[in-house]
Amino acid sequence: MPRTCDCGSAKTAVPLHPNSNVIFMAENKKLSIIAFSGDFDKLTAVFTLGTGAAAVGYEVNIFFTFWGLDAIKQKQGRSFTGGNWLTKIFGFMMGGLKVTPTSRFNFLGAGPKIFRYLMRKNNVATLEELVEAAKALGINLYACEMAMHVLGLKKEDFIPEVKDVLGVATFLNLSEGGQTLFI
Amino acid sequence: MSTNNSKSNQSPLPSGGAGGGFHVLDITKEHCPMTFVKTKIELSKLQPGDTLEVLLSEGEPLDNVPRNAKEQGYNVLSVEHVEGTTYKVTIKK
Repeated sequence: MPRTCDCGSAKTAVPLHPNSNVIFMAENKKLSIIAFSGDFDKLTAVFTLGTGAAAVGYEVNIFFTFWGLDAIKQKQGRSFTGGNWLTKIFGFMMGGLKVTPTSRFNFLGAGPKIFRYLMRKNNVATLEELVEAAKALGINLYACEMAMHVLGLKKEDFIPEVKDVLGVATFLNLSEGGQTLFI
Repeated sequence: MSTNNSKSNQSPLPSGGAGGGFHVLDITKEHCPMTFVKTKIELSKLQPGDTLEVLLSEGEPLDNVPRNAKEQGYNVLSVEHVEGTTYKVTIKK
């Protein structure tokens, strides 16, 4: 049977199982997002959720890993970044926000252009506007250390708003007590 | 490039005391999440005593903007119907 938390907050204590003594506490106003995908539509979801949550008072952390690192690259457009020919190829394929593909209906790059047109026509914020809003709202942006090493990227390759380079353990500490999403 | 429908104007009112700046934000053409995002950004620029008048549409913005402003410690002075689906929310820091 749900009961109100004794600490007086609005959180609710709910037993995981009727016979269990272990209870689940409703989350604090904190949202952490693991941005794994580098797709245009999924990154739009990341930044829509992040900015929306930050705007209504949440503490927001976004942890960019693997293809998600494309969203925080400083240099826009395709370039051969990285230390060896393999990472240079990845650097060329990951050309930043302007060339991120959609996860479906990419149509050789026409998909994102179509979606941007539809967004502007309906006065919905574009991905670039959402990223700028995320910076203005002070959302905590982090880069995944492991993925950076694999893809041959350095902190200097990212936008200056990236707060830090983290590993899993630090991210888990930061996200504790809030909601975590994997996109 | 998307249309920017938010305006922020400042015309000082003779209210006396610190702050007293008056700002207007029109988010009637915005959609989630930019309704809350632009309101939050404008609120964060206010000095103590400043007032922000937000023009917004009924539905989710009307349901959530005044509530979120109160939760974040701002004074919601009034919520008034302007015309049609447009409402005016006056918030003071």
